[in-house]
Amino acid sequence: MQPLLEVQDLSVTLKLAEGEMTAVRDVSFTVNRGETLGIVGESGSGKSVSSMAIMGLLPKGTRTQAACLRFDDTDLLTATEDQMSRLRGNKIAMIFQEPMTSLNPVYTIGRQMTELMQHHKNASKAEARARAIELLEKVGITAAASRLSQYPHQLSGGLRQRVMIAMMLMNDPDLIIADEPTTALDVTIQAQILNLLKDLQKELNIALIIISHDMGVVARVSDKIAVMYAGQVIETGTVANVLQNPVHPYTQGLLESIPIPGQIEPGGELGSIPGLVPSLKTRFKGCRFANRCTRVQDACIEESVALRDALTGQAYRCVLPFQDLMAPAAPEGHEAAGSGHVYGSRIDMEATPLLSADAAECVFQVSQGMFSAPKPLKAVDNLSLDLRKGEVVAVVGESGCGKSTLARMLLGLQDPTNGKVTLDGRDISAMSNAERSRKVQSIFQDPYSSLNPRRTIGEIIRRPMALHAMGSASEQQEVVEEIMERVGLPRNFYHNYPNQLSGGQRQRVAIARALVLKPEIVVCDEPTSALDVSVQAQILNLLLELRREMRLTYLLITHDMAVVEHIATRVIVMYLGRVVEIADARSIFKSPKHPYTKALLKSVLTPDPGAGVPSIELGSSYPNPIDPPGGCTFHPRCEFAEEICKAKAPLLEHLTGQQSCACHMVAREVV
Amino acid sequence: MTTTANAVAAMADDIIDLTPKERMIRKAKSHFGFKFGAFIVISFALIAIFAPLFAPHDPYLQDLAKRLVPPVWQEGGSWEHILGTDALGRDYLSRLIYGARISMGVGFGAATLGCLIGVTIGLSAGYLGGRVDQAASFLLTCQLALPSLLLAMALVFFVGSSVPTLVIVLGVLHWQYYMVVTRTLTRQIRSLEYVAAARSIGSTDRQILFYEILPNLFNQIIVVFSLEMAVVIIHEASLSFLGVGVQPPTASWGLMIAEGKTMMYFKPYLVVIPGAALFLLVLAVNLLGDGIRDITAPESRN
Ligand SMILES: Nc1ncnc2c1ncn2[C@@H]1O[C@H](COP(=O)(O)OP(=O)(O)OP(=O)(O)O)[C@@H](O)[C@H]1O
Ligand code: SF4
Ligand code: SF4
Ligand SMILES: [Mg+2]
Repeated sequence: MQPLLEVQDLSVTLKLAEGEMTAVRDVSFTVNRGETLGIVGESGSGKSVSSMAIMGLLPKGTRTQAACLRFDDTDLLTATEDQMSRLRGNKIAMIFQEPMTSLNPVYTIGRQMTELMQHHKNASKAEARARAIELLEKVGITAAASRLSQYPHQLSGGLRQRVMIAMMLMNDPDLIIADEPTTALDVTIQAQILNLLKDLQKELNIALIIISHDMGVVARVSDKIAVMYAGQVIETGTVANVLQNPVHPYTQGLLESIPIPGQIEPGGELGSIPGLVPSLKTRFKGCRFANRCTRVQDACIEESVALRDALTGQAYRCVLPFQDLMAPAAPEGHEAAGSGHVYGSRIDMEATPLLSADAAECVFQVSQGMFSAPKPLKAVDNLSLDLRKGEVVAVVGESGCGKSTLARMLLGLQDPTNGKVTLDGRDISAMSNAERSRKVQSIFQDPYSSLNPRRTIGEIIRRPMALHAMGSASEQQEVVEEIMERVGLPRNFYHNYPNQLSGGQRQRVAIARALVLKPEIVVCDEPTSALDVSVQAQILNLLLELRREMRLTYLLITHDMAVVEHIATRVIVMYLGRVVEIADARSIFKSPKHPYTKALLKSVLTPDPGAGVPSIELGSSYPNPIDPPGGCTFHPRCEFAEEICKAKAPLLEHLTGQQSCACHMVAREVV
Repeated sequence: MTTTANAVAAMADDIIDLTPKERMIRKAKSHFGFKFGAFIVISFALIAIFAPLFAPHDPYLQDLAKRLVPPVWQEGGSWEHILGTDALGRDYLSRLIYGARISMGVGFGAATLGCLIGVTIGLSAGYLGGRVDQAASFLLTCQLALPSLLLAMALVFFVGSSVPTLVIVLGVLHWQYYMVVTRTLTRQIRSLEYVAAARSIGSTDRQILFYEILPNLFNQIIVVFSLEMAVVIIHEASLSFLGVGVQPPTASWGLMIAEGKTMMYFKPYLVVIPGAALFLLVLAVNLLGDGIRDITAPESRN
């Protein structure tokens, strides 16, 4: 049987202002009906461009070449625009990363869904409507008929993505291409959407291509996998083969750099790939991974490397025989970092806290429309927390739970509406900017907006010292150069501007800026969430090393439980502005108590081939924080909820050791 | 193994190691628009400042016997009056040279004053928000509702006309675009993380405004400046034409255009010559503005 989609030696050359750039080179894969192909790769590796080439959606002036690019019995290379557009409406459907931008905001969902079918299938209005309702129900949307008259902005992100999927199914496609379908969603919603896609695919016998930078997602839903690097597929095969016996040095490195709960030693060093992904404008000669590969040799850079078969079942793009690659590399110092002592055990929990929040509360007035009066939104609700010397406290929760507001309060950038934040025993709002900034520093989430584009790297890192009049100009420059070297920035970046650097390099600049004042506490707000996996590992390793060297205390804000397990000593779980559970890291992972914590832990997708996505029974989606449910705010999503949960908000109660939890059922030992 | 090392090194992004100043000079040297604009603006400025050295005649000397002598390249023109004479027999080139003083002075002066006012209001409105922003918006609405030419006439009429008065009046009436542009951008930048980062390393509001925000507004302000300068020069012409601007016999390009207009169909050079000078100046300022923008812009990776 010939595969539904066949791509062979696909190359795509984009036209840019400065000339041409080959974004994808010699990519081959096939997909059958009922099969899922996962494409993984770091950003800019050409995943999206490949899928756009199949859809015929590349910008004008793009050159697409292939030995074969065939869908069913249409040759996509020679198809007319007319044929392509019929194919896109009927046979191939695409789901994009951001559902809000792919749904038209000015039409109702019903109209968008039915028009598609009326247009392509000549269905009657009533038929189309009936099918829309049926599909909305199928993707798990309740009260489907009434949803048809709603507009996209009236739905939450998770619901929107479901609508998008339902819409794509309207015309019975044979192939669905999902480009980062869950990246914009919260982790607890991600699992639901992935399960949905997988179920639908089995039921309807569709071919599915799932594109993601997240190895966990791809590993769990795909049958086959293609790993892309710098515009090429560098390894491909069945998921089990590629993940269990990775052959290519890049795949091996990538898998090692993913923190895996239960396997990584807390505080230990993650495997990471040195260096950066090369720019696609580079004139490549030989292997594209050569500048980062530990096994590089002369043969690698002489001529381009072809994809070849390994006996283990997959194909890989490397000059070395697979037997050599499978043998472990020269034992490089992968020693445990703790050197005997247990991570975090040296922290004196009786010491007076460096930074603490006492019943802190932050209320914003939010106006929802032009004419409605502003309503209060409690971003942080009655939150207390202590940070002691040497701790790494992680605050976890989904987006919108108030993590970043909490960070801003702790940094003194936002005054609490009630309660107070104290630093070294003094009220932080009474301290001057200058005084406070010597003790607490911050690293922000988005390395693209946290650096002033008009200042050079040198100026940015030096600025804190200039503000605090520390030393002469030449002394300052010396310190800057020292710290740049320490965080792994080449010295010649001193006079470069931020937009010449990659995301990972920018985050290093932000770290350097935070550390020049030698603060005691660093508040890191999602320091790695904008970065690629292999770079995330580099940054986490750096943060841990610096902590050891400079005896730093971290407050780490994140939504990623795997990162938490790796570096936190204590964990605070937040839901809708409240703390639902606090415990030392070990207890949170060994014996989580709160139902929400359990769900979060379940949502971590480690790259286990074929393990499937654990279903998370979190009924409805994340509530709107402007009108939170009464009683325990978690009750609409909680499987253990009882009457008392709706009536009364549970208090944070101490359980054992450092663990406390806010749940009626845990207090009664039901859960 | 050295070949490997070399090839690998060549694959790494090569970023030139120049200080920002060196890089700017290098870019300036190869930027045609910047060089051309700077050349014209500087030459005009020199001519204006050293007008007596350049002018072949007294710009005020009337010689009714030599009225409306055409420029040298037309029939009846002479080398004595290269650009001809006006309706009162005054040497046109000399008037153009002296006129550059007024036009450039008023143009740069008023555009700069407007810039100061508009950027100050826009920065404070955008950064502080709330009441200040409301007040600024109210001021803007008032200003937009008033017919500015009429207002200028009234003001100049009461204060009495002189070049400094003109600069002040025109400057005070041309701040709106600066304000709108700065306010919007400041609001955007205020919520970016690098402003929060600046505060958390201990910057005060003033330091944030001047060190973090203002440099990022530079490009847009320069563009508005070059446009406003042209507008102001033409406004000065209208005022002069209406009799409340520069008083005759003082020469200004605007006034020359205004006086020449009545005879535009018979003696087009009366309008074309000062018009061309004005056009050249505005073009040069625009090119210079664009050039400065390109030169100071931090270059990017892609
Ligand atoms: N329309 C376009 N014009 C110019 N360059 C483009 C265009 N589309 C993509 N590129 C470039 O092509 C390269 C590959 O892009 P692509 O979007 O396929 O990456 P990706 O693997 O999907 O990355 P991400 O994980 O960030 O989505 C990138 O360098 C990107 O900047
Ligand atoms: S070809 Fe050479 S450089 Fe490329 S992955 Fe293989 S060993 Fe490494
Ligand atoms: S208090 Fe009730 S609703 Fe809330 S988490 Fe506990 S069991 Fe669930
Ligand atoms: Mg993409």
